[in-house]
Amino acid sequence: MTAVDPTVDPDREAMGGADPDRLVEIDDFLGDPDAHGPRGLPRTIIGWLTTTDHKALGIAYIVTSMVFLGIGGALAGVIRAELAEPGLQLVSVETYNSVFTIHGSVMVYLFAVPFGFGMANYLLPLQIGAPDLAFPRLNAFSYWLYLIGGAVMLLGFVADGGAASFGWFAYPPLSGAAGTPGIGADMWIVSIILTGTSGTLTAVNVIATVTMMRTPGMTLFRMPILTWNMFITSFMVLVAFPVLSGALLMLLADRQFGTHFFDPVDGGSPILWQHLFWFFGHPEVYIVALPFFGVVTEIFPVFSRRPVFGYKGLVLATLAIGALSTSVWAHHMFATGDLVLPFFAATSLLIGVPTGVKIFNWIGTMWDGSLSFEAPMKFAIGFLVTFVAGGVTGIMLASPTLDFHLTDSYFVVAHFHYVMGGTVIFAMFAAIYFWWPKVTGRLLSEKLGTWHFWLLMAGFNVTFFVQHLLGRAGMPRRVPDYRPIENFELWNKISSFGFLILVASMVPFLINVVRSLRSPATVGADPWHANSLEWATFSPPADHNFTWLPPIRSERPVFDLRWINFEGVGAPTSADAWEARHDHDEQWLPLHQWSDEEEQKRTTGPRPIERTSEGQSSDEDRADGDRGDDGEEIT
Amino acid sequence: MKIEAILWTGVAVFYIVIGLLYLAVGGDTAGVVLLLLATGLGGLVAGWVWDWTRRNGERVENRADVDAIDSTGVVGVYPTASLRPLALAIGVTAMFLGIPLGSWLSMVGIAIVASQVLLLTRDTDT
Amino acid sequence: MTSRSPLAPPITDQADDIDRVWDVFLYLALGVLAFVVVLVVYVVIRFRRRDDRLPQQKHYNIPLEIAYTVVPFVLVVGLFAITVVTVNAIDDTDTDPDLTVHVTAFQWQWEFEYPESGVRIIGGADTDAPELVLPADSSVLFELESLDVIHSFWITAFRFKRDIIPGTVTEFSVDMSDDAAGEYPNAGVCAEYCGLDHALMRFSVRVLEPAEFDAWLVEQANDQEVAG
Ligand code: HEM
Ligand SMILES: [Cu+2]
Ligand SMILES: [Cu+2]
Repeated sequence: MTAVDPTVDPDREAMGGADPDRLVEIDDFLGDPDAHGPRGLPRTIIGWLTTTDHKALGIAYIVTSMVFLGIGGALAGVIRAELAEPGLQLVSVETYNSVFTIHGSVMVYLFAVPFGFGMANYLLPLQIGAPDLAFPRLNAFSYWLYLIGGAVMLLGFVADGGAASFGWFAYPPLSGAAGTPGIGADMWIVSIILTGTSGTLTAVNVIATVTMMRTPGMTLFRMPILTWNMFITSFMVLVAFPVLSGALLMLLADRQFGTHFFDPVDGGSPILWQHLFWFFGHPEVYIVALPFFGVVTEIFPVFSRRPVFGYKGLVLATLAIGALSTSVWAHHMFATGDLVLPFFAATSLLIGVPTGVKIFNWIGTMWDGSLSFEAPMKFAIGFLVTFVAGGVTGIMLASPTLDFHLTDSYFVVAHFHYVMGGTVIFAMFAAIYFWWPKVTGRLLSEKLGTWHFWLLMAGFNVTFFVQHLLGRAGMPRRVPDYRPIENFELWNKISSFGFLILVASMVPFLINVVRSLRSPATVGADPWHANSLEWATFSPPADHNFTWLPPIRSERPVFDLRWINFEGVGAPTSADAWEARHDHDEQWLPLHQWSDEEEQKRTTGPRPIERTSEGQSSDEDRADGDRGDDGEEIT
Repeated sequence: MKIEAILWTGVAVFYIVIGLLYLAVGGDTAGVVLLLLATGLGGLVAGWVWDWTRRNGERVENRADVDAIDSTGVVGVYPTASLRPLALAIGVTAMFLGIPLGSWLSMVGIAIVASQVLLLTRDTDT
Repeated sequence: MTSRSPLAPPITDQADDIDRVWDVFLYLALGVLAFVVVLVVYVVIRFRRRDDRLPQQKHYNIPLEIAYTVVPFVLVVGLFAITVVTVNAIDDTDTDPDLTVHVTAFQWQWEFEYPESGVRIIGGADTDAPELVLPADSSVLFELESLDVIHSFWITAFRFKRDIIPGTVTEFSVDMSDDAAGEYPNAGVCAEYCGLDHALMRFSVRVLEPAEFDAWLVEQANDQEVAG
């Protein structure tokens, strides 16, 4: 072993002369990907309907949420088309009101949050070296509840009186029985109760998985940041979602059973709803965002060839965001005047600090690195810039002095689209480009990815930048019509034109996806030379994920393994652990072979989850007949 | 699991501090109650984790110097494929949709949920 | 000079203050954005991959991490101070105003009443946007009331809005600037979505010199007596 120590070499000469052949490729450890039974997804409809596999459910979540993105995007198209000119052209006022309500609701409840849960499903067990989530059946239940609940919301459009039309935060008394009669509104409420319940159950699942199913050596502070963020997000879900469900049940009772929780005429309080809703609603935006912060924190190090800068600081910042975000809720209610303004101004401004810390952690990760700009990196940088643009306007809105003018105007619409678009759009595509090879075993074209990126960047900014100006100048949100004065018309036209560019940006993406899916699946385990455990298994991963696991001595086990022949590059004790393992068992690269008989059982009967010396997905016969009646029990 | 326990205790402490602070500056009742409930949630999990640690000791997963090798044995059972989650989801949806659409639908929903839960507990293969 | 911005100029002392705070926040926001963008562009150019060598693998730089936590914190404390000072001034209701205006919002129109003189101006479905008339150089107290759902009383020239919650009367007061007189045809709007014709809940604002305003009020009172 040559002593090459890049950590102390300021001139980045570390690898000078080092023989690249001595870099370990993960594929060398894995052998034949198809020797371990079928990989990949269920092949039959029944298979899909009954699956409890976290990877299949993860993909189901992601595909479903992308379909909802398409629907929400189409509704956004209706909005932008209507607003391209003052006056009413395209749709009636009733329809417009339903359209923006369902646009917002679909995007937030049915696309952004579930996409994050989809990633949690697929990636989280892989990242911590687990064979599945802790409660696979509960997980399947969550998914179906989400799908069916989401469908209920959209079915509102065909209900008598149309879909809900009270905006995504459903302020009573407008959302009461008198304000918005019609079944569509009730269906909206039911839909959100169902999808909210689904989210809560997934959160329980994630927390249990992270707590109990980490592979030995994967201490909390070696977990990938994405997993950390999923973990913290799940806690926030547990705090926030039940409050929403409770409030919605009260609202449903007001509408259906004649109670008066929120009805001012009979002593109820509309303000109570606002407190309850925003106690959920603000954490919600971080529930949406945190998983995507995690995504880019996985991507920056890989394409910079650097470790995450300030890992612990980053985790602390995320914890701080998680905690603080549940105490800022009433900044959405400044204009009511009916609250302790300084308290919420303080907490809201304060949350900017940990958010800023994250930005600098990401830049610090790239600093001094060796950056290459494949599609995931492009989108991650796109996220960074867009998100900061949304963040600085957030600081403005955190000051009630300014919020009094800006709230409920297009300035707010611009602000949250920069924040949400930055995270859920840019970072989402970063995630898709990054993990696509892992999930499908295929590559996406870089050229089309570049087109996609630049069109999206242009379209996004053209659409949303002018909305700041509109809002500050006095255009309220949620209006199908506006006064044809001065720049209003021009700015709205620009924004609507931007939407066309956004649509155009989807063309290279869709072509890319279709072309890739038609090509053969030949990608190896670790095409990006990445860091975390999901890259230590086949692409797509084996059934139950791992046939083998490297030692985990830092937050970058796969990196450590690749550099094992170079002392001082990876985690210091990683090489020792490797040696020890080698000594322990000459068969240090055994790959479990399934016999036909086992294969039969694997697809028909319950199987114990057994930890073997080399991984967790061994498939022995169940020794003890009456053990493990509870499928989720961990001994 | 000490570190987990500390984490959750931290959560509980944060919420009690914020809750009391909010109460002190004259916050609304709903908000104070919610913050205290969040304290309870954090405390509940923290308590459970502390208790688990006390009874079972530190888990090998939390040590920094171990390997997959150091923890072998059965850790759980994979459930087989099952139609119950889907059926349950349909049942729960019917239950809630019945509230606006008519109580008969809720009845159907309750019947589905009850039967599925019953069957779930009797499934030998879970 | 004709401004191309549709935004009405500030017509209250409070709005002048708010615009000053806006400038502070805006320039700071642009500064932070520019700083980050410049950093990113620099990093992207300076550290692009040139060869296959592994860059240095340093994880931490504690002093730097502390610095980029403390600096934003200090900035935020500054912004908080500005906010608290100004928001208290804005939020302060004047108990002895020169004029009280009682605003009633309902789906989907406004009524402005001057209780001291009994004058009422009501927007109707078929009328144009109603006009709110105010005196320059005076303090005005607004009492806001809703007959149905939540509305929000937003006068862009005030740089301020206040939600109108059914079941309660909300209040705020402003000091009209001494040079506020003028027509502000597009300055008023309902900002809280309130159902079907939310978009049409607009009103105009006209500010008169105090003497003219008194005359207008008397004239209105007489007219309404004749009519009523
Ligand atoms: C595809 C590009 C998109 C366009 C062109 C777009 C456009 C718009 C517009 C113009 C509005 C204002 C409607 C109104 O106030 O009348 C709006 C509202 C909204 N959008 Fe988007 N949007 C897009 C994507 C998204 C995404 C990705 C999200 C979130 C993940 C999102 C979440 C929302 C929400 C929550 C509202 C508020 C709805 C309400 O007022 O109740 N949008 N969108
Ligand atoms: Cu918020
Ligand atoms: Cu209104």
